Amino acid sequence: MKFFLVWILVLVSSLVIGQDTVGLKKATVALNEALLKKDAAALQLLMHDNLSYGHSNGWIQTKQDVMADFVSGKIEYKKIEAGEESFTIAKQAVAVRSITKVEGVVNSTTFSLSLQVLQVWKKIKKQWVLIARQSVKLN
Amino acid sequence: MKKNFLLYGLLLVGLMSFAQTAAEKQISDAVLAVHKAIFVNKDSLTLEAIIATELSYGHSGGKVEDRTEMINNVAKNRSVYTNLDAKILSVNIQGKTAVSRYLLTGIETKMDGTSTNLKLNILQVWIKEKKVWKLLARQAVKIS
Repeated sequence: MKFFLVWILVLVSSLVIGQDTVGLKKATVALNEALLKKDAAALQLLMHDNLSYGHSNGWIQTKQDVMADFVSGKIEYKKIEAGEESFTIAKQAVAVRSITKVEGVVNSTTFSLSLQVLQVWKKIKKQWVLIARQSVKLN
Repeated sequence: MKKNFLLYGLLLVGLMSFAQTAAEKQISDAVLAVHKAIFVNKDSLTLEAIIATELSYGHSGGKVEDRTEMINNVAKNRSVYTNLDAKILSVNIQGKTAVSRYLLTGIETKMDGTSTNLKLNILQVWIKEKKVWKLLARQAVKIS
């Protein structure tokens, strides 16, 4: 009986988590693509209105700031290469970490960095949305 | 009748905004409790009560720890922190998830006597489990 219950639990949790990470992996890929292509429509959908987006240089931005910087050309990504992603899964939200290589231009100065990136995603109305992000520079 | 209805409506809105403030206060309290447990009291018991089992804890230098590593390292930490200040910058609640940021300033003096100024913006993500807000993820970043 006990064994049966455990088995059911494993089955259910693997179903839930399995589905979640597949959808979530798509969302993380879509986000990086949208950042590269400056795809405002995609970014609108992927980022929560109350997003807190922290850069490795200490800038903390809102969704509106992030969108505005793309339009103005303050930040331009040339390459975003996310390494293997690790998922910290809770019912309420999922934290995704990866070591990501980024290249681009900020305020007309080029940068090339290796970052530890934390993203936190939440599923709202069947759609994964980014609610928080913070990166730090790696040496 | 109409007046009563409006009054009830107002009362309801008032209660809702009060509830929001109460939740925000719970998060603010939790931010300060974790801060104190890590940097002031090195109190692993408090941490165990307030940290989710799934914790992902990122330092400003890029090191990432899980729950066990984090709690062990806090207990083992021999640095002394002075002039500490924790200023809450934002709290955003989405159902049973909350995102907070706070500014940590202070001086860290290591066992060997060397001191460094700390100025960190700390992102924390909280999840509500059985009426208690628990820390799910944390990432600090140095600011100038």
